[in-house]
Amino acid sequence: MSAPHVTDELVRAAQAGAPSLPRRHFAHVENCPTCRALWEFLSGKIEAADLPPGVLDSLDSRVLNDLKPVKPIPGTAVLALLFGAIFAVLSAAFIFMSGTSGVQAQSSLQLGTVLGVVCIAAAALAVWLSREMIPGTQRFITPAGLFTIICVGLFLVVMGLFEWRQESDLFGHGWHCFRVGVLTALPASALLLLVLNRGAVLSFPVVGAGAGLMAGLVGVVTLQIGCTMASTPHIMVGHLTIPLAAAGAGYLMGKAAPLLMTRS
Amino acid sequence: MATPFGVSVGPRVATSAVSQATDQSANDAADELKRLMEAYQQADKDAANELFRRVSPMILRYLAGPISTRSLAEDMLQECWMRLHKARHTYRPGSPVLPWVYAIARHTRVDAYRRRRNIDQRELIPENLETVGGSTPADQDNERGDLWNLVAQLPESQQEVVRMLKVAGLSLEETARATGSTVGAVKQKAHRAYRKLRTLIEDSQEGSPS
Repeated sequence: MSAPHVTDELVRAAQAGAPSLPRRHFAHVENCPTCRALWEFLSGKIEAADLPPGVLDSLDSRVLNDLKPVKPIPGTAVLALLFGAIFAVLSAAFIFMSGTSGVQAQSSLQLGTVLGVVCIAAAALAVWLSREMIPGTQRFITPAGLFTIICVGLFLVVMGLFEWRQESDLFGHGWHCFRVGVLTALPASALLLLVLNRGAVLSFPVVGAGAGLMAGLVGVVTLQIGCTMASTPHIMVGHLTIPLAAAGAGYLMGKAAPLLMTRS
Repeated sequence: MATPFGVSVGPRVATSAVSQATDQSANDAADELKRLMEAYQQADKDAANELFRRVSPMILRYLAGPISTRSLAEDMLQECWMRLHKARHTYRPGSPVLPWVYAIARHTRVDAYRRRRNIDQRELIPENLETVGGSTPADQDNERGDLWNLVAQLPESQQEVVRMLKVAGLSLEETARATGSTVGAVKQKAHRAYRKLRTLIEDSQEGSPS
């Protein structure tokens, strides 16, 4: 038996909750000091610590004096719908304000695919943010994985569907759209933070990045429908940088949040 | 039959019956915690007291880690309960209590150790420390204490998983929930941790550095 194979077998036996070592491993474990030490570690039980005297009294005085009933937070499904509603309502409002000139500049396939991908990304972020509000909820994907899939997916869709045209003033036009997008992302961020504040977010930088990414997608939707420049370079520089910038800003704000809370 | 190293080998039928009894007892304990947590949310002081009494010892053990000072562990426990109290509205009635508690405890621990980043715990001499309750995982007995010192040599993310599984006694799914990860990722980290631990044990037994 190889060392990794033995380790795997011992770990499986311990995780299965078997109170005793399976008979087939008995001879090996008895003769192998390393495996014996590992098995005793895996199957051993750590006894609970003795509470120092006065700790419970101290907790009583600090916590129970201020004990009031609380209403449990809504479930993750309701919270996700709330985030989705913020995204949908703000996107609709900004599209109404900025117009739909961009629709004529793109094919149905281009517009439909980009909007579809953005809406799926927003829905995924809504579900993820709702779970970040409630500690100990199940996760199906890591934040890094989710953010990477969304950002890479958007860039690949744009690269695949739109034409790579030389632009006369790429950064000038791009900067204009970027500013518009940031202006749409700001109120979206504020509303998302308002809802997030109702929960118990544990990792401010990561959740800040996620909220920023979602707010930035409002800008992407608004610009995709309102902007007449439908070329790959322009969309990448002027539109897709908005969620990236908003995510970065959200991350930095999240890093600063504990410092601000300490000072207040 | 008891072996020289204290591990007993029993018949499969008895093993199954004992496992079932253990599972039932664990389920009853979990249901009781849910009931206490829901009563705590409704400002039931007796339920809150009972919750402190039941959960605090294991939180303290988890927060203390392999080497810690009494005052640091107590401070972290106090801070952890303040956070739990402030966040009690986020517990969803009917859902498992321990992942919720340990998710908050984990961040309390991370924040506390970040604040004390300049102190290198590995250079502290264990016998000079006033340890928690006289029995941290590191000194429950000499041999297991040495193993916990080896655990401290694992990467932080693997240490955390081992601590949750072994010290907190959480299942794989509960650990995944508490660490904001997936069950697959936790399983992978645990396996890597135990494989690395085996190598460290082997090296320490041979007396050579890993």
